[in-house]
Amino acid sequence: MNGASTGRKSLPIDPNTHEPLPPVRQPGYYPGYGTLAQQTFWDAKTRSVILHRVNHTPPIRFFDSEQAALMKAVCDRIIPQDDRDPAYRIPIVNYIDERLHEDKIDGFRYENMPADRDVYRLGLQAIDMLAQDRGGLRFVNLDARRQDEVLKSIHDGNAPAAQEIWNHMSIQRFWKGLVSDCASAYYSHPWAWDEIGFGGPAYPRGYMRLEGGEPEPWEVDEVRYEWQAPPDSLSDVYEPAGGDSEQKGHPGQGGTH
Amino acid sequence: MQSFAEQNRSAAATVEGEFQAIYDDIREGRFERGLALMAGLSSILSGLEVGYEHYRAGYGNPIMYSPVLLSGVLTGVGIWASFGGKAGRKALRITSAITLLDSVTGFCFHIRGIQRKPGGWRIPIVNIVMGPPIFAPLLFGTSAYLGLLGSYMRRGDAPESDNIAARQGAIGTNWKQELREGRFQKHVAAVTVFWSFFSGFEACYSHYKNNFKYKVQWTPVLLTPVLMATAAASIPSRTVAKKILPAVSIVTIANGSIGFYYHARGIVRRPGGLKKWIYNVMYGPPIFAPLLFAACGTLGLLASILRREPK
Repeated sequence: MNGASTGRKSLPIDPNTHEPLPPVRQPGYYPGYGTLAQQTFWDAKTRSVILHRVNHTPPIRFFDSEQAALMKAVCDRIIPQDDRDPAYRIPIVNYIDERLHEDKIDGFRYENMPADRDVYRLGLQAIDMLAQDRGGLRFVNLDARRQDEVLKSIHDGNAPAAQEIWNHMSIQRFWKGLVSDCASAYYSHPWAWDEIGFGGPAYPRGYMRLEGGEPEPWEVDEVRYEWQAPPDSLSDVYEPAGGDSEQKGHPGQGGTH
Repeated sequence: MQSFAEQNRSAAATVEGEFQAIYDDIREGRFERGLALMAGLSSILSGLEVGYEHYRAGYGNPIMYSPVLLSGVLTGVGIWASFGGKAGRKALRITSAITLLDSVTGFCFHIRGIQRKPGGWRIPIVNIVMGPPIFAPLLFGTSAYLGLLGSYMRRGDAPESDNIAARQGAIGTNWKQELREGRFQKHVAAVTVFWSFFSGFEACYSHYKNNFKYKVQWTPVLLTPVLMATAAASIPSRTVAKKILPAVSIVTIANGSIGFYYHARGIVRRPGGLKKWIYNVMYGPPIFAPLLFAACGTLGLLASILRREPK
């Protein structure tokens, strides 16, 4: 297993002290903000759905234990949560597992893509094959930098191994689906809403300060702080994608926040 | 020939005399025509306000047309009554009574409207802010209230003897006679307490909706309790009614006028400004609302001028 479970941490860095920022219960720019504090203003159904999401982590039923460990390592690099207190990490893998277990699909499939369950089975095989190719180890045993390199090769669409799998499955579509599943799972959780200052369910309370960017009474002011991506992460690496005309990315915008 | 200084003096005396005459007329209840005209003209403003606010709400309920129509009728009747005719006076009384009834009905509908919003009274703050303006229908009744008062006052040329006769007669028990004679200071002071509460409450939540973005938005909210307390103290105390109430009322009128300027400026400063004036009047700060607040000051001023009810 990767991340906190093996003691390896990939923490964002304070650019002034060059020290890692310690894990906190609620990272982000909205200290003290909590969507759940608004639950009395939701309707009963909304409240039960959201509270169930917080209090009940779905068990792993689709992935076997090896696949689950691999998925955990992959998700820990796509949306790293090392900056979070371990008790407040969002169980991304469990949500993806639940979706695959219940076979909740989009309702359509690209012709160059297998069914979603097969996409994950094949994709995880391919990731381990790429890990073997790069470092001679299983993906879960690679260091964070190597793991990022493996995932980046999929992101870039030029994976050096597992050709027979990519022949059956579009590498770009696999990557897009994986990232979008991770983001959907992560940002469905109230703790992620607190992190980004999102208001959560608005019905029936709604919004009243509709003009001039004024905050709602229950919102808190943004408190920004400087941070840099962890040194073992590839997320701050600058690569112009669109030639010379491409704008330089904003430093600090490529990390977990 | 008069010297220049003498001319000036006599002119000043004339102006002063005019003011004294108006003041006396009000105290004696001899300004029924002026009050009728005030009712008619202020009804134009409240009619425009309710017209665009209900237009914004899409006239979802046919009863929403009633204040718009009634304010038009009240304007006409108020002007008619200001000529001093008996028929106009009668019509003003009836129209004002119906309009007051309509404003109370509207108040009930607005309360129901808030209750019917998702969450209802369980989410009172958001639903009061976003729902139909709770006290606006009662404030709409201000013109009708003035019209009703005017319709009960004696004519400007009513004989003085009438006054004497009344003093000897049913005075103190007959409210009609008291109204006739302008002896209803406590009554108007009491009305001022309620009206300023309604108007101040509207200002409070509307400005809260805007997060009190400008410091000046606090002024009506802070002024309201002062006016309410002064008007309330005017009921037992003649001194407060005569000395303090007029000052506070004038400050309220000034505040409402400044607010009117700021609201108008807020509308002009919206994207599109005057080029899209209909849209901006509808979605910008409520243009006539500060004038309703100023109207509370006018009521207070009226109360301070009037004679007190006999004990």
